Amino acid sequence: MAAGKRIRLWFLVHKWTSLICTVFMLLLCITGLPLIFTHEIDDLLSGDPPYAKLPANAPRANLDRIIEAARARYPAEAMRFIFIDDEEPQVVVTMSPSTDSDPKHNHSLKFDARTGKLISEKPPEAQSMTFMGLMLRLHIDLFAGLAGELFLGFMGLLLVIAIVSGVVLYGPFMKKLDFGTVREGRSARLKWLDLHNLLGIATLAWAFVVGLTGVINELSTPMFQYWQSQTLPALLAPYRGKPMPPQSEAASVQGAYESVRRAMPDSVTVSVVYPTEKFGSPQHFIFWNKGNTPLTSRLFTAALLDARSGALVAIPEPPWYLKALEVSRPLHFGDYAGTPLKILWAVLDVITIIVLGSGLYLWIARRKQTGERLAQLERRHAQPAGAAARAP
Amino acid sequence: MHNRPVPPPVPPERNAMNPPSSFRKVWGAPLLLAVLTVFGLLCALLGTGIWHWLAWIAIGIPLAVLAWYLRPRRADRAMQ
Repeated sequence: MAAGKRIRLWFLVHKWTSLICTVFMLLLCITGLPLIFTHEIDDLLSGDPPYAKLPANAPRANLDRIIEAARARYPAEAMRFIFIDDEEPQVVVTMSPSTDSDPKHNHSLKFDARTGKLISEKPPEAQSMTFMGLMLRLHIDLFAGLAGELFLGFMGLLLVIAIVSGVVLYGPFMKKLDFGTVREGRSARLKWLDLHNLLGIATLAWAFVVGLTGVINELSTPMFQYWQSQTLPALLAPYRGKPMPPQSEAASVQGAYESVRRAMPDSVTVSVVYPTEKFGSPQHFIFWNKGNTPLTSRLFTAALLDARSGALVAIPEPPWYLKALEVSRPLHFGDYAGTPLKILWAVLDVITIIVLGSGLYLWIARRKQTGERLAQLERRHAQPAGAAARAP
Repeated sequence: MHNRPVPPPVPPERNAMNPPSSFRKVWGAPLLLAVLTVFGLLCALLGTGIWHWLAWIAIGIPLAVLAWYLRPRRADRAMQ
């Protein structure tokens, strides 16, 4: 009896956590499907001319020349960050009206990393939303910023609980059945129950990992803010009372880049964040660097450099929660082992959609069945007592 | 389905003394598939080259198992 009660309780947990998160999870699975192939779709849609054919060891352009070209194009605007791709020969400069503008006003200029020539430009999201941009916003924050991130993170947590409770329920459901049994020909509900159980249990580890790492990803904004609040005050103390240096007085980024490369020879610099009041440090360039082994290439380490002098100030060791966040990115995106993994990710995503959809169907069918049974009982009770007594 | 080998009859006293077999019957396949998936995810994360191949195979096996159990019934009968 106690076991029966426990199963009932787990069933209620499974039902309610699933019911609340299913609609959002369906949205995340559907928007996530094209996002798996972001790189391929972007390449396909960009319409950018191909890179100039140069020998593999062609020297890279001076970053300061690229920055000068970007500033000459938008003299009234502020530099925000520079992305230095380590896969394709591109350097992408992101600018916005001011150093603290909302990121939706960011626009970017793509340069050839070797010739330093401008290849193409991307307008700000606020002006023209691309299809992939739309998918990304629906997937990350529902256009609601931090509130949306935390909300979807909570929905992801409900999914994780729904998976755990679903696994607990799998045992009693399968006690008399062989693995993989699908009872066809009896009722649609029974068939879909078996399909729901089979598809769910076979993909459970993947769904659990992607769900959990999704939740961790949704916490990245508060995590980075916390890290900043722990790291920056000590580094900013010597600058107390000094205003943020104007970008025209900033140090040479190329020089800063070279000193970071000398200090961290086992890594590559992937981005440079300009000084900013809101989104980084007002007195430092932040260079983000990644390692060069499969695992450390997922782990980013920041190097802070004085914005005026370009001197290397600190290379703080990333805390455990940022490492956890960074390892959970590839595990969520599925973009870390070539195209075959992306295809597997897509198939598993579609199976998850079927599990979610069949779960919803089972709930509706069960409600209908319960309703019909209630109606039947009511009819029986409405019959004269004699008729009921004669019934077998 | 119909050609599944019939398990040899087990003496009842041995069956009663061996209750974990029901755990293995329910959880054996799910646990194996979950371990394969996690192994594959880690291979992809920690290695390159041959490890990526292992990752694709390990993560693909649960999908292949699903495809096997969900194969069209009619084709199944025609094959036998």
